[in-house]
Amino acid sequence: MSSHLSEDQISRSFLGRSTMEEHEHLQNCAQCRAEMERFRAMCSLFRTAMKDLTDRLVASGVSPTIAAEERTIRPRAFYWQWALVGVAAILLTVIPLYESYYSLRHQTETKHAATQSIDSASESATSGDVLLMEAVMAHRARALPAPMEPVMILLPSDALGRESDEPKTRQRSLLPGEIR
Amino acid sequence: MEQIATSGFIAAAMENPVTEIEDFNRVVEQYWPRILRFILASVHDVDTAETLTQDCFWNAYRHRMSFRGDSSLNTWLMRIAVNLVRDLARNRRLQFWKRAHRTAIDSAAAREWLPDRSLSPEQRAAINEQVGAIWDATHSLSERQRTVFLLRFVEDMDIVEIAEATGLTENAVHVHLFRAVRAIRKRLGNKYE
Repeated sequence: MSSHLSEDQISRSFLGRSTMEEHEHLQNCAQCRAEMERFRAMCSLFRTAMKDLTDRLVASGVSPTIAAEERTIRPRAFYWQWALVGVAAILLTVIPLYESYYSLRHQTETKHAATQSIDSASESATSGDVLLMEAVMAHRARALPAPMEPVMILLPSDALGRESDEPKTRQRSLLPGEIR
Repeated sequence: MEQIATSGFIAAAMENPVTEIEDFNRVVEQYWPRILRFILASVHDVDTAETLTQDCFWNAYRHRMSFRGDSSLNTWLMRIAVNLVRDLARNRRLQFWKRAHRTAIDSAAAREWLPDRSLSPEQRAAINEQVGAIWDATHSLSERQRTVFLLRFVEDMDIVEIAEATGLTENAVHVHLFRAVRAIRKRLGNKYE
């Protein structure tokens, strides 16, 4: 142990919970004993001051009221706190409901829009098919292929007959049994 | 334990606290300063201390039938006061935006802790400084440490009574008391040298 008691040891001794060694040291060390007595005196002074203060307050009019008499009920200031709790509860209930309603409505609108686009695409596909078939039929009905038509325009109109000996590669071959 | 003047009323009270509470008017007159002192030292506000003291006796009156004399009447009333102070501290933590009350007491405002005219001005100044230092030091303690310190060194209650009033074990009371004394001594530093 050092020459004097530590702060914890003095605090423990002040509360009457010192060890034998600490107690003996206090018996022999005037400085530690004086320090502990000073703190004890301050606490005693504080106790006296508090008693004096309350006695003065009671004497000046802070007087006791008998509980049996009518007691003024002070309005508690926590009604607004419960109002805040209620508002918070309502918001926590309403906001999820609104979000689910809004998402459901958005999904419905999205589906409707998708359905409409599919229908319009089907209609345009149908008309396109008809046009394509007409173009194919027209192409097959040509006497000459389309790339040859500009060339045949340049030839005289009787050239088609003299050139009957020319290999008529472009003429449609006769089908079996067919007479030209 | 605090020395109690012997009187017929007090002697009867010490013998049977259940009988004592039947005369509630006298109970209020006898214990009002004690409860007010403890609450004032805890909350550092005159108006709040007065209000809580009224609440304490109002609650005691409403529940007087439940008092069975297991503890002294002082301990029972102090338990009610301790609970009220704790509830106030809890509510204050939730209402941190409220400003300090106008009737709050700080060590600088309480210039005359002990207006003893027999003392010299220098002695009074020294006393006021020391008392103000402990007043500020107790304010810096935790709620439990402050409660056990005030009950021990202002109300002169022993460890068993403090344990009953606070609902703590005796060992816990010792621990909180030790920490309170150590914290106050540390805060006071050289003020009393």
